[in-house]
Amino acid sequence: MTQSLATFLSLSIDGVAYGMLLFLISVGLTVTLGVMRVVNLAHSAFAMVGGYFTLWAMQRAGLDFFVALLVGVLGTMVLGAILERTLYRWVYTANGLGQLLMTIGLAFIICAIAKHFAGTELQTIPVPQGLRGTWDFGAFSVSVYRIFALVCSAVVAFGIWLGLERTSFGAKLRAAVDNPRMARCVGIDVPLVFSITFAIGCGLSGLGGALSSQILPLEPYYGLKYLVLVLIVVAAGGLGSLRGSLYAGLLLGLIDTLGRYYVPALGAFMIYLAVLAILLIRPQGLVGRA
Amino acid sequence: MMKRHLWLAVALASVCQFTAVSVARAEEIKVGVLGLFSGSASWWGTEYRRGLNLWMEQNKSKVGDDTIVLLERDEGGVNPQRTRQLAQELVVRDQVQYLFGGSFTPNVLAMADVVNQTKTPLVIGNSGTSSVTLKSPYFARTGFTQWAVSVPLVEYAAKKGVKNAAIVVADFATGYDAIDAYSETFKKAGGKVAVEVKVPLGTTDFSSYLQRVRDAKPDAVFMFMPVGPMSAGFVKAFKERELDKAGIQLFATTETMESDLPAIGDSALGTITALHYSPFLTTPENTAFVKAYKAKYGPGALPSIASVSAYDSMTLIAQMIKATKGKKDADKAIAAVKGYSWMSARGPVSIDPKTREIVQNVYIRRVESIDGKLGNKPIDTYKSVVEPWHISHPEVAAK
Repeated sequence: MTQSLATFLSLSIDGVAYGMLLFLISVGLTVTLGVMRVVNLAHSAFAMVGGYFTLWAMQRAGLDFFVALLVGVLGTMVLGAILERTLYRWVYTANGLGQLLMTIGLAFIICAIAKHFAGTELQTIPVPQGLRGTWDFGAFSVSVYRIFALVCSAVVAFGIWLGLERTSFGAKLRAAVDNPRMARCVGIDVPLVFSITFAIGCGLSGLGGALSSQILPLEPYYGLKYLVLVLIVVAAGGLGSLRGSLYAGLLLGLIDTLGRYYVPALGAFMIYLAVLAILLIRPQGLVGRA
Repeated sequence: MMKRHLWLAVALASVCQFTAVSVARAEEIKVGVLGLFSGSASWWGTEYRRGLNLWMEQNKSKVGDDTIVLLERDEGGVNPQRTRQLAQELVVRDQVQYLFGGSFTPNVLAMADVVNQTKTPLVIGNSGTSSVTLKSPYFARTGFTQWAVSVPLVEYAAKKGVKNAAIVVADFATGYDAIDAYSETFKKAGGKVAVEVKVPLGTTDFSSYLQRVRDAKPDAVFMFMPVGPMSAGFVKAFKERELDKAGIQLFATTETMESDLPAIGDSALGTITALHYSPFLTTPENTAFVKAYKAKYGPGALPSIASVSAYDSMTLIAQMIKATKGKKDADKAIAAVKGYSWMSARGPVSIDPKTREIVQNVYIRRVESIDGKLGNKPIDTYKSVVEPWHISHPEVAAK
């Protein structure tokens, strides 16, 4: 295998893994946006919360990485459910602008609270020994952790698809969104369905935040800093399309990683150029809503 | 009767107040402090404040009979317009005699006009760009420049047998200084630069850049990133990608600060850096400084380049106040610090009369586990390093 081919392969795997992580932190927003029609700008703040919960579970409670991950995800889900039952009630009834303002305000508040408790230093979640380092095959080397993150995200993606398309809960949810009144008439508890969906969305972003802390380190401004990334993935994929987010995440992750290597002069701009191109050609996103 | 008494009391009180105020005014010297007290770089502001307050406590806020009053203003981030406006307000409205601050180069440059027009000395606490002190005759720097630490770093590496190196820097002014300093020094020492990589500000995913380094197959990497997420992220990624196992050694400057080491974790172990300070210096001055710092800010706290430079800036400002007997006279004040030398926690230091840059030791340090915590242990010293950029670029420096 030649050096340049090995480089290309290594980069592609990095890019795919990065893309899958992007998908993971934005998929929760895709679910709430697409299914519940709520523009939740506090979404990436939930990713940060998930990350901090996981970190604290490891540092303060001394839990194992995988247990801590579970604690982090569940903690974020509980927080999400509580906020949904209290604050988001008003957000649902607000118009588009109102939703934006309320949720970005919430993002600021969460960031301030995180700063109070976690301090301004940036932190990453320590990874167990088995997931560190690289696998080398001659000139070709891949990071073990990236493969792990890739597999996790793929499992989650498949799980969400299965949940929405193949379970009775998924059917209820789709019904509740398309016609809440009719859904209520056939005995679906619409508010409960929404609460659960919202909590799942938060949990997913929490998982994404915890898993991606190696690439996007935790800090109190995380929720605002990476909001743009999340919105880019959701917008380029097509608002609310699960498949679209997956494609967009993968495509942008790849373009970003390869672009930084092969076109260093453009560096970090490649991702924005790519989004611009995608939205020019397909204003509805890669998989626009019909 | 009652009424007359009341009038008298009021009159008396106001006279007292007037005299009290005017007496206090005569001895009060205001120092404007510009720091990053909020936002994602607020570590700088906190450390500045700690260094300043420690000095104020130890000296009871006094220089001779004059009392020093600090007026803090928040730059809030890389924000030249705001910093300029704040500096202007401090000088014009609040009548400060001296300014201290400046963490990031753009903010410092923005203050040059205000400083020049109002003749207010500015003691710069950081800003790694060498050319900054050329912008005003009233600038003096107690921080460091990227050049001053890069040159010893590369010389040390070359001495240890590094022949072929990659240079990885963040894509902004100080990064360019680092590239120039690294490559000029390294070529002079007979080394070959395999690749130069510029990483955009704000990057947290370093995979592509590390791949470029790996493909170039160097013996070593000389890096420069701004303190914070990029520094920690790069050092961490470097070790996790096992570039060290591929035989590449990492050389850095400020990137392994004690405040960032917990985030980097054990992967920082063994990293060699060059910097003008380490809290683990064993000189009596530093031992006393660290002890005082811990007594004031808690047993877990450690001073850093920012708190030390804030503390030393107060020493410098005190010297200016002494020389001018508390009067506002910028030329006399600056003249008084040119060539001024004292013993700092970082070792013997002096202000270069030509450039108003600080002359100081640069320590080669290695990240080790010290009392169960990661820290930078000094392993070699380059004594009294004179800011090298001004020497190697006389044609620019003369302008």
